[in-house]
Formats: sequence, C-alpha cells, structure tokens
Amino acid sequence: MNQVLYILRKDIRRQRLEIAASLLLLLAFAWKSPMVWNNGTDETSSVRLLFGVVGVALILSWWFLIIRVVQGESLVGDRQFWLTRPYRRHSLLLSKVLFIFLFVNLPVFIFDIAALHHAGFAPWQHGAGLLQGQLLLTAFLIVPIATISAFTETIAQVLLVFLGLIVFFVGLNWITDKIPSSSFGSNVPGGVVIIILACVCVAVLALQYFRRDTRLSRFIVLGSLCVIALILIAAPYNRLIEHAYPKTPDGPFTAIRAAVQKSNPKRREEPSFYNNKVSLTTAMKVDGLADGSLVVIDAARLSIFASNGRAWNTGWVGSSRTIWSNSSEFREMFAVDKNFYSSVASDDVRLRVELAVSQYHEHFLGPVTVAATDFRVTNDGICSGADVRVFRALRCRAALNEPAFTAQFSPLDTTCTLPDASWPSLQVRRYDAAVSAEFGGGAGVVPIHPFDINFGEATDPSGKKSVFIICPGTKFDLAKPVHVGQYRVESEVQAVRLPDYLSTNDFDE
Amino acid sequence: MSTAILIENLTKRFRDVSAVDGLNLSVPENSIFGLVGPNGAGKTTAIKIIMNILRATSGRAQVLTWDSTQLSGAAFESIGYVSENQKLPEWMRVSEFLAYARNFYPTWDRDLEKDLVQRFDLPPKRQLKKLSRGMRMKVALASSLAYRPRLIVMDEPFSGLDPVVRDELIESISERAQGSTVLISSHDLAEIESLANHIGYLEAGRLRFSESLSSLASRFRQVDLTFAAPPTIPAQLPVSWMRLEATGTAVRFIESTFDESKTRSEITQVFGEGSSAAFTQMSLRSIFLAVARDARKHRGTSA
Repeated sequence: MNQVLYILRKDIRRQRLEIAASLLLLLAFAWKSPMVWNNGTDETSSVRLLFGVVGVALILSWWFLIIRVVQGESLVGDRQFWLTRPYRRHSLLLSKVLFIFLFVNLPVFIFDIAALHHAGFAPWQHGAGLLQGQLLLTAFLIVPIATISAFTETIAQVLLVFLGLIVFFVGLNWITDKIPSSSFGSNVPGGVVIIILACVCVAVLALQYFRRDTRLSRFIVLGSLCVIALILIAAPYNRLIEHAYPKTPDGPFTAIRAAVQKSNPKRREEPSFYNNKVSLTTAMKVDGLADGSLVVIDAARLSIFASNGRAWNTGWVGSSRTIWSNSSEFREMFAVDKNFYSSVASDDVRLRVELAVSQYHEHFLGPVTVAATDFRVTNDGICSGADVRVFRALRCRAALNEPAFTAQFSPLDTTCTLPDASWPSLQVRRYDAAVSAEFGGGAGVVPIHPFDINFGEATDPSGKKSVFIICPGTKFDLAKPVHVGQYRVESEVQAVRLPDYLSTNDFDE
Repeated sequence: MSTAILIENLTKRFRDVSAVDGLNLSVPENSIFGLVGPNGAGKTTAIKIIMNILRATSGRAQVLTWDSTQLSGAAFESIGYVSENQKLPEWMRVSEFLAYARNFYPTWDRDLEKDLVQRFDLPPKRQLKKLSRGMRMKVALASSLAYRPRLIVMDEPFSGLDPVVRDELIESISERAQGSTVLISSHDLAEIESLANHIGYLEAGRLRFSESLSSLASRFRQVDLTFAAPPTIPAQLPVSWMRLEATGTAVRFIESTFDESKTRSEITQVFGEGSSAAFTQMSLRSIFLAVARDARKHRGTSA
C-alpha cells in the first residue's frame, strides 16, 4: 500500500498545476451548469458558448491528466528508470487508478451531488443513478484514453492513435451506412462491438501493466479493429431485426393490426430527387390496440414488387413514432432509389409495408396538479409552472436519466380561461417522453436533464386563434410505460402506382 | 566461487538479426566484471535481458537467486541498474528524486546518500533536466548505490563523460563495490582495465572469452622475433598465435596462451633455432584490438 501512496504523491506533485486547472474548469462548469436545465434563458449567447467551451476543455483536461499519469511511468520502451526499480506492478496500476478516481471521478461525483441538490433533488435517493453515471464516465471517457496511453509513449502518439480511430470509425460508418437496415439493426452488432472494445481495453491494460508487451497490445488493438469492421460490415442486419421482432408476438397481449391504405390517384408531377432518392409516403391504418396500451414503431420497411418481377426494398429504417389506443392513422415516409422508381413509375406495383413495433402497457401513476412553482411529475422529475405561458410547455428537469412516462390530459379540465369551452380542438391530448429509453437515456456530463411536457394549444374553429391550456391548478394523468413485447406486422396493397405515393414535400412530413 | 549472474545459451533476435547469439557467461560473486566488445556486439541487449527489460528469444539467465524473467518488484531491492540512456523523471529535483527512490528500498542508507551527494557534488535543488549528462549519471549512480545493492549492473556508464567525472565515478564504484558484484559494460577499455577484475569479451553476440584480468594479462603477450636473415613463414602456425606480421628480419605476433617455455619451444618448431625473442606484456586495449582484428580477419576469410 505504501508504494501506491508514494507513486500517487509523486504524480500529484508532478501534475499539481494540471489538477488545479482541471478542478477550476469543473468549478466554472458547475457554476453555470444550472443553465442546462433552465435552458440558458437567463444567459447571453456568449456565456452559453463559453459554457460549451468550458465543457469541452474540462473533458480535455481529464484526458490530459489521464495521459500524463499513465505515461508518467511509461509502459512502452526499455529506457524508463522505473523498470529496474522495486515497483510492484499492481501497486503501480492501483496508484494510477487512485489518481484518476481522486481527480476525475470524485470531483464529478461531488459535482453530481451538488447539481442534484441545487436542482431540487435529494442526492441520497439517487445512489444507483450516481453510480451509473460514474460507470458511464469511466467506461466512455476514462478507460479508452487510459488504454491508448498505455500502449503509446507520448501525447503526440496518443493524438495520432485518436485521430486514426476517428478516421477508422468515420470510414466504417460511411461504409455501413450503405448497407440496408444497418442504421436500425446495429443494436446486436453494436453491442458485440462494445463488448469487444471493453475486452480489448481490459486486455491491453492488463498486458501492459503486468507483462509490458506493447507489440502484442498493439496487435490486439489492430486485430480488434479488423474484427469490428468485419462484424459491422458482414452482420446479417435483416435477420437480426426479424429475430428481434418476430411475426408472432410472444406474450399475453393483443398485437395491433396495420393496413397500408391505397392512395388516391394524384395529379402527376415530376418527382424531386435528393441524393438519388425520391420520397414516398404511405398512409397506415392501425387497430386492435387495447385501452391503456401504446405502441412505438421502432422501424419500418417498404418493399416494392413490380409486375416484371423486379423488386426493391428500403431496408429497415428507424422511426420512433408512438401510436396511442385512440389513434388509428399515421403516415410513414420512405426514401426510394431513384433508378428503381423511374423504372417502375408507370407500372402497377405491389407495396408491402412492414413495421417493427414495441408494445407497452401504461401503468397509471396518478394525477398531477400543475403548480405555479416547482412540482414533481415522476420520482425523478420536477416541473415548473412558473413560465408556462412563455415556453408554451411545462419545463421540467430529471435527475441523472430522462424519465420514461406518458401523460394524458383532457383540455376540458383546464383551469386556464378559455374564450369558449366548446372549441372543437378540445380533445384529449397525449404526450410521451423517452418511452423507449431503457438505460441511461440522455446521460451526460451534467446530471440534470431538461425535458418538456407539451400538450399543445387549443385553437378556434378557424385555426387562427390559439389559447394555452395548461395553467396552475390544471390536472393531468401520468403513467409509466411497461414494455410487454415486440413484434412486426405487415400489410400489402396491390396494383398501385408509385407516383400516387409521392410525398407532397420531399423529405418533409 | 559462486556466481551472481549465470547466462546459458542466451539468444535474442530482432527479426533476422541476432543481437545475442547463444551467449554463455558466468559473473562470479563479488567480482567487478567488465563486459567489453565493439559497438553492436550485443552488450546492451544482453544486459537488458538480464534486467528483464527485454525478453530473450531463447536461453535463460539467472540473476542472484532469480530467473531473469521473474525479476521485478522486490527483486530490484538488491539490484542496482545504471545505463547511459536511462530516462529519469526529469521534472524532479535531485533531492526529490533521491527522496522518492528512498521510499522503495528498505536498506537505503541516508548517511551513504548524503555522502554520495557530497562526493558527487550534486546540486539538490536543481531539476534533473537541467543537469549535465555527467551529473545525471552521478545522480543515477547515487540512487543505485545508496541502498547497498548486492548486484550493480552498469551499461556504458562512462560513455560521453569528461575525464574528471569518469575518474570520480570509477573511484566511487571501486570504493562502494565492496561486498557487491558489479557488471559493467563498456567499449572504453582503459576505464574497464582500471576498474574490473574480470573481463568478458563479446563480439557479434558471442562471447569470445571470459576470465579474470590477471589471467588475461598473463596469457597474452606481444612476441617480437629477430632473425639474422628474413625467415620463411610456414602456412601452418600454432592456433594461439594471432596477427603474425613479418618485416625483413623481424617477425611480430600475439601469443594468446603465453607460457615462456611453451612459447619458446613453439617458436623453435616453427622457425628453427637462431632467433632472439622479446615478450612484452599487453594492455587490455591492445589485447582487445588484437582479438577484434583477428576475429574480423577470420570472418573475412570464411566469408
């Protein structure tokens, strides 16, 4: 243990100025961080810009500390004095871990607690969230840079590796973007990639600290990048999605039915192409969704079968549209290949729309009354009724993670003064927030996450006059969405012509 | 005599190049062993393998009671290592560095440290990066002597140092090495000669010879023969004769297994009676040059 402290004390002495700078940056960041959940409304644009710059500088200062402390006893090369001194390797590693904990994790932990307290939350009620925040910080901001520092000798080499990795992942993203369904279906391959990267980090750190085998470490890093590229390029995205979203739902709930609607013939217009794509919109009708349930359309796929035997599909494309039990229609937009469109535009075609959906049951949490000041909306959320008329929405903040909830409101219950209570648009309003957020939705450096609850406004029959309908004293219901299953549904329509489905404004809904 | 370092069939290859090639070497305990050889002979590589800084391709080395591949942590409490190209924590002041190193050694002798600082005239408040090369070497040596290690390994410690600093270091090593084994590599033979009592000669990764300095000095002689008329040089000469040169009536060679009566008898066998012989003791430098040139000649012949 003594060695750990000797090395730690030496590192602290060496980096005292950098540590002070990093802590000052954190203080500056903490001082202005309430603007994150106040949406910076009280701050000038230059202060907001400066806040962003300080945030970036803070992360860079952590990286600088980590690189310097790891490379203080460089694990690369054969000329370091410490190699032939009685350093115990586990003590060396432990001292570095302790240094990072003391000057990165601990200050952030204290900042998190202070920010929670300042935002009106009780920090001791968020122990798990605070721990999760520390884990995310360690996994995404600390371990990767510590790993790179362990197999490089200088800051310049770290930058070079970092740039190389950026180029690699940008290039890989550019390639995988061209693979159908890859943007939505990368959950499983992405998970595998994260596991590989985690294993590589652990392996390289262990190899460097206990065997100092830089060649093998670099080989492992390069090899893993090749494996990652192979996985992301060769992954059977369609099959993975179809496996994750089976045709027959498994669970005690009623699946929705969806039907693609035949479009009325339109006046033929020249389609506008963008990036060699043309935008088509299909109207969908859904039914079968029980009261107290909702469905999120995670992804959709449009397949087109021409009479001459040619076929083409969009691949699975992410959607994130929420369907409530009282809604029955929606529109889904697809980008279709220009050449294929042109080749079958004048023919009758068969359209098939497939939807990959997640179904949720709403667990009623209770009514919430809007207050003139702060009021709680979920265990982790606080909203303010103070500025609703300015923002036209309830401005809320959540502790550590964006909360997943649904809200329902009947405008007839409004306590705002309405010109006429029989306005036709006064129908039940629904709102959902981060329904599909399962893990750390929105987690970041600042532990408080702003979000809005917006039920819209009431408008008069002419649509010209609108009135805000949430006021202090207004009540709405809150529910927690509980995931019950996921599946896919499909619907076909025969003998239609693609020009009838052209989006009115390409790439605008 | 027990050994402090025992090297057996040690080989280190960097791609296709053998830096150390089947090296066998034994360093007796309490000796000051000079490992000499030309640049690129493999001295530094061999020492780095001994110190577990590099891994051998094959073979093994035993250092004190440890296999060299197991050398780490507590083992270095009884081993000191000083190298010409060692990277010290240059941001530290001399006193900080010594204080930091002190923490790692239970046998650290504060009085000896003070004595070394005084003797080497080290400026305690100056940062290591602001010290001259010689001063830095002194700091490294002070930090390696202050805990009285059983084994001190030095890789080219005098390289590039001015004569005054060199003499100071040599003097200190000689004084402080009592009770320790010292392995010191150098191609500066004059210093090694004044310091070492055992010598190993390494060339092209192979050990040419290893023995005590007194034995080496006694078995090498420069032999000068004078004849009445120019002698005939036979094709076959004794294998112990090196670098034979003939000029008119004079013949000179190096005898590598000198024993006066044996050498005289071989001279008579080769040249017959009638020559006068003078035997001159050789410096280490002359022996080293003779052996190196002879090896080069043999390599040229075999090539």
